[in-house]
Amino acid sequence: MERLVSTLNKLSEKSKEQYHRPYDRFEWPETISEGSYWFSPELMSTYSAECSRSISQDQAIELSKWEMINFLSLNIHGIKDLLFSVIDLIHTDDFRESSPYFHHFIDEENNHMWFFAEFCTRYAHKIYDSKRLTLKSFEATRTKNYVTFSRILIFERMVAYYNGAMMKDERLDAIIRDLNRMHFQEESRHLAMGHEMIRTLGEALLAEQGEQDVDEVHDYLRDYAKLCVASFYNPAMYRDAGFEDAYGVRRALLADAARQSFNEELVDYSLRPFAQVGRA
Amino acid sequence: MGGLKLAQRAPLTRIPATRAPATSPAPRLEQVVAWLREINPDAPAIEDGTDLFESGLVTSIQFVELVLLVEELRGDEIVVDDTAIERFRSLRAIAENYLR
Repeated sequence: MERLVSTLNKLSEKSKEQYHRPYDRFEWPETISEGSYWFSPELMSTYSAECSRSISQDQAIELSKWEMINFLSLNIHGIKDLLFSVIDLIHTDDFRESSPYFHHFIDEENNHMWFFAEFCTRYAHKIYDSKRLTLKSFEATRTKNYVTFSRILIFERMVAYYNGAMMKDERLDAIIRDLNRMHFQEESRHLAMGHEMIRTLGEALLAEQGEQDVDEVHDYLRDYAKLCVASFYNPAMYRDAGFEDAYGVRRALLADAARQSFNEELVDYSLRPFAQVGRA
Repeated sequence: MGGLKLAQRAPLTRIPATRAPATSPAPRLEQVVAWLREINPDAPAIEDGTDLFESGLVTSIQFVELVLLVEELRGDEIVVDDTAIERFRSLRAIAENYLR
């Protein structure tokens, strides 16, 4: 716990030093060219899929617009979920010492949600709906708290993977690179919190519940990571890009060997910190 | 990449589906049952009134797939809000709310 608190105190200082208002931070262009990619082609849900070879470059470019809107919409809904969770835990006995940093975390996540939503509504006039529903999964408080921060970390690692690539992709409009860069930089602090939370809460859970229970939680987290990856294949974006059978496209892509291989890599990448729980 | 204009969009692309489309002759609810059987091969009989969530037949992870399947079968998008859990609670509820 001492190490966690020390990390969070340092992160609080960094958040204060780098504080900014998002509302006047960006230069929003009037429009974004519809003739160039909005999403790195190598990160698109169709990339390298056998069944997507018939897609023309025009169609790929149009789909890239909706993949970006979907990516940002996923972020918006993901942020809403994590804000609910952290607000629920702030200034409770178990998180008394973490709460000063939670204020920065909540503030920064709210900012991210604002600039992602601003992009979607300015340039696409929509944010895709979330189809998710949270059902009761774990009863014990310690387990629930571990799952909460694990879900946040999985989601943030996945998003950072995309941000890290797109902030450097010169094929994308400057505003798209900038949003990705801004998010990537601030998320590095949130990831640092997440890794430390998982280490601390995971060790406590292991000591209290034992390896079998922790393995069960980790199985659930793998399913959660798969759900997150599947969200990148949203039928609504295929429909908006003009594909005839949006649900069929999604199924075909999820069944594609190359896509499955990428998806597994992304799931494994997002879950990497959990292999270290209890081994520090 | 310069010069590509979406206004002159290429013909719509069809990627082959891997499962029978919604126009299959099988009644639509049976396709939901078939999907439930696929993800729960060892489950006992699934009655019209079986609580899909309490029985563990559908987890929160699988719920999204269920929504997308029902969307496809009814040919229209579904908004998932606080009331969705009741509208998807059983096969009967799904039929009454979405597949009439």
